[in-house]
Amino acid sequence: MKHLKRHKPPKLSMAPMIDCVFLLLIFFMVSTTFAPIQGLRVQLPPPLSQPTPDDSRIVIMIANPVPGETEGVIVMREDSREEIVQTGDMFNWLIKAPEDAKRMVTIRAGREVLHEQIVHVMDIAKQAGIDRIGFARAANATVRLDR
Amino acid sequence: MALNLAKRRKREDEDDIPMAPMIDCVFLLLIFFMVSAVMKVPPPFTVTLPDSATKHEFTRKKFNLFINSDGRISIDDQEMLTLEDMELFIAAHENQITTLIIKADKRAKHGDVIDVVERAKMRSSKTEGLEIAFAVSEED
Repeated sequence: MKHLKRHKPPKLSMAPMIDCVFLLLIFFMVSTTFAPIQGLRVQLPPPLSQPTPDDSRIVIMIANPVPGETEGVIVMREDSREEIVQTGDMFNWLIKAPEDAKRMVTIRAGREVLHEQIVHVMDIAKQAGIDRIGFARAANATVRLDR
Repeated sequence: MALNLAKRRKREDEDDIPMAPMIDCVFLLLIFFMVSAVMKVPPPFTVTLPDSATKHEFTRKKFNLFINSDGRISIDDQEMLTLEDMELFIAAHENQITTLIIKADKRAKHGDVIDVVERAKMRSSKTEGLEIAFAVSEED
């Protein structure tokens, strides 16, 4: 009994706990994703406003794709001038548009148009230096084309 | 001899590096990372983002909206069965959503995407409105 009393109280060993905590720390460091998301900003007209705001004179209309095709026909409108434009020519068309009309474009697309084409059109508009891209309301977004 | 050994052991104990401050530091770091971590939550379906040459960088947010090619919608891993559900979810978390990042599949239909955008926009009571962005593929 005397012999036992002289022993020091058992110490809690710290090393395994530190190992655990480091492991958790490293797990959280590895699983954390600080990488930003790449995206394109969208601007909608405020609710209950006119479908096409006055400051957007350029409207890009995209028709629903014909069955079997992935891309819809694009019609560009600037004030009252309308013309069918190929995707490849869109950049030049936008570059040639008057400077004051280039503040904003509105995209008016059919419901069946694929999101990929919308993003592609937005991409081209951004490349042409147009930062504000809006969408017309979907309710009247069907594009009539007389080809 | 026995006394000598005990003495030496005692001195070794005293010479140990103090652990407590290090543990404090490590705990602090651990808690910092736990709090600041935003987990990448996968949606219940696969989404292939469209490509774009121009892209803007947004900080990763807690709530991401996913739309797949069949028009299914989910916010993080919670699938929204109707647009009303989605609207309610956005309204309930309005204070935490400043930028709504829409991760729509490249085969998703524009109609489905625009429905979501309009609902989200209408729900937001903020005067300047909710900022909305379409996510694009991260590969160049």
